Formats: sequence, C-alpha cells, structure tokens
Amino acid sequence: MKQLSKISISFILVSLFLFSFSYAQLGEVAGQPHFNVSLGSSQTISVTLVNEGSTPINFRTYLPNLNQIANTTTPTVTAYPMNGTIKPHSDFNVNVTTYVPYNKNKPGLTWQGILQFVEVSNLSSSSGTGATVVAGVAKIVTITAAQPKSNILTLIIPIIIIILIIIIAIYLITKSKRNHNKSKVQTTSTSRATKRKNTVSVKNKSSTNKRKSKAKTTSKKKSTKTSKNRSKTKATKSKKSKAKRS
Amino acid sequence: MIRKIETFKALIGAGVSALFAVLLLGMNFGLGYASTSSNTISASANILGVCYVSLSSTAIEFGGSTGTTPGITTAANSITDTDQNGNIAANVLLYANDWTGPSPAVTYAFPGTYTGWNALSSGTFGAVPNSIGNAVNTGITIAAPTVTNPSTSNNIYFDLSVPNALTPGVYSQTITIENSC
Repeated sequence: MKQLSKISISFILVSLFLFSFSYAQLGEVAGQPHFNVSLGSSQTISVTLVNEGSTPINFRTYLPNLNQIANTTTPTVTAYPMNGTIKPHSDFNVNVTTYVPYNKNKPGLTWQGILQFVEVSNLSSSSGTGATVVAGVAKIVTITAAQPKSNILTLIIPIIIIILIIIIAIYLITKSKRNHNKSKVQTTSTSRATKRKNTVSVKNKSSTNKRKSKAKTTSKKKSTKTSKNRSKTKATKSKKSKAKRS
Repeated sequence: MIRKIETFKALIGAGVSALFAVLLLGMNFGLGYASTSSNTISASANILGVCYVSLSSTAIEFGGSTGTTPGITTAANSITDTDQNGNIAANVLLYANDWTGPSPAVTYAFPGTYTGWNALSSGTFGAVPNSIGNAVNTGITIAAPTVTNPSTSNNIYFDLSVPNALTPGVYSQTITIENSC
C-alpha cells in the first residue's frame, strides 16, 4: 500500500514536471500586414511566428479569402512555406506575397482577409459528441492598390531606341555624304584621267603621225633619191649606149 | 653611394626611434599624449510586440460523456485562451469546420454553424463560422501581459444545437481559436 502511494506520488510529480517544463506555445510578432501594392506588381512581407515553448510546433498556413469587390480582379496571395515546424524557443519567418493585377483594378481599392497559421496536432476528439479545439495565430491582411510604378525600363527603352535611331540616321547621312564626295572625287579623277589619257593619246597619235610623216618623207626622199639614181643610171646607161652606137 | 644610403637609413631609424621616445615620454608624463580610457558602452534593444495562444483544453465533449439527444442545445463549455509571456493585447478569432459522423461510417454531416459561441456562459450564442478563410473576430480580447502579470487570459463559451432526427452515433468537429495582434 505504501509502495503504491509512493509510486502514485512520484507519477504525479513526474507529470507535473513534464507539464511545467514541456509545453508548446505558438505566438506571433505583433503588427497587421498592410500591403500597399502598385497595380501590376507584387509585394512581400515577412510574418514572424514564435514558439515560446520547449517542444516543436508543426503549423499549417491558411491563405486569406479576400472580400470580393464587384467589377474588379481580386489580388492573389501566396505564402512560403505553407507549412513547417517551429523549433523550441525560436522563431520562424513566413513570406507572404500579394499581387494586384491591372485588370479592372484602380488605385485606392482595398481588400481584406485573414491569414492563419494553425497548429497541426494528431489529437482526435474524445468519445461522445465532441469537438477538437486547435490553437492558431492570425493576421488580418489588408491590400491597397496603388498607382502603377513608373518603371525605369519603360522610360529607358524608348530613350535608347530614339538614341539608336538618331545614331543610325547620323551614320547613314555621313555615309551618304562620304559616298557622294567619293563619287565626286572619283568623277573628277576619272575625268582628269580621261583627259590625261586623251591628251596622251593625242600626243601619242601626233607623235606617231609625225613619225609616220617623217617616215613618209624619208621614204619619199629615199624614193626620190632612188628614182633620181635610177634616172641617173638610166641616163648614164643611155649615154653609154649612145656612145657605143656612135 | 652605398655609404650615403646607409647613412640615410641610419638617420631615418634614429629619427623614428626619437619620435617613439618622445611619444612614450609624453604618455608617461602626460605631455599631451595621455591615454584617455572609457568604461561606458551604449546599449540598445528593440523589444518587439508578441502575443501567444495557449488553450486550456484540446477537446470539448458536448453533452458530456453520456451524450445528448437530437433537438437539444447543450450546456455551455468554456475554453480558456491564455497569453503567457506575451507583451501585447490580442484579439480572438475563431471558426469551425462542418460536423461529420456518425463515426466510423460517415453517412451525414451537418454544418458547423450548429455550434454556438459567446463571450459569456449565458445569453445569446452566435453561430461559429464554418469557413476557414472567414474566421470571425469575436471581439474578445486577451489583455497584454505585463512583467507583474505575465499571464493574461479570457474565456470563450461554446454550445451545440443538435439537429432533429440526427442519426445516432459519434460526430466530430474541429474548432480553431486564433489570437491575432
């Protein structure tokens, strides 16, 4: 009997020890996330969960069901990770990203929803008509559509295109001018060359003519000389024959 | 030439050593080079606001271990929501999924809204929303714990209106209580 009482007391003490020193307590860093998202862009905010206890906490993320606004496109909300384990006496960051589409939306529109991080336990309801009660932490997410950002690229790209067009135009103009000048120079040089050629050819022709005429004259002279000689010889021959006859 | 370089080096060495000597003397005799020591460190800490959730029970047994009958609204069952070691007040949100049963052969499920909630043990109980994304803000707050009072809590009461002609058996539901700060 004494032993039984001792065992029971020790059991109570052990259970009390476990109860007081082994526990999990889910928490969150304060602050309700307010997303101020430009149309067509996204924003990420980190939500910090805390485990104040000495045992790990498994959790699951439940994305918010944002309120519907007529004739608008509801933003999308994503979270990473969607589930995880928070180590004892430590915190855990969940990155929540919202995207506000351009479609039908205007700056100033606001949506709200509840982002939830719920403990995952393997507990089942007790016998009878019962409900399992689960603890969690929640964030009331507010998303406001803002003016679309003036993207630097959208400004830079047309500027670059205009600069490129100007450069190309300048290049083409200078190239055409150069070509024009070249052609001018070429025409002048060719004309000069043709003139030179012509003069040279004229000169050559004249020289050849001169040569030809000279040759002709010489040949004529020669011919005259030969004819004269021939006539002379003929005369001498006739004189000789006459003398013989006589 | 080499001699000149050596003499130049020797002169530089002598000059440096003389400078050190002057400095040491100055430090020793407090001639303008006295060392000033400081024994204060500026420290700062940014303490973030945190709220925790801890529930007194993980199950509610509507109607007790004996059970309940169709068409009856059960007595209120309380759950204590505690914020231990937090430092900021929290709002209590809750929702529940649909009832399923009877176990193990589930033949019928009835809406989770048959479960009621209230900040008090008596009075009108509101229907617990049964959509995960649409948790209801109960308006119940857990006060911010302080150094002198590091644990604050509040109660939430639940009851169940059992539908008429409900097939006998064990039914189950999950209620989620969330603190938000």
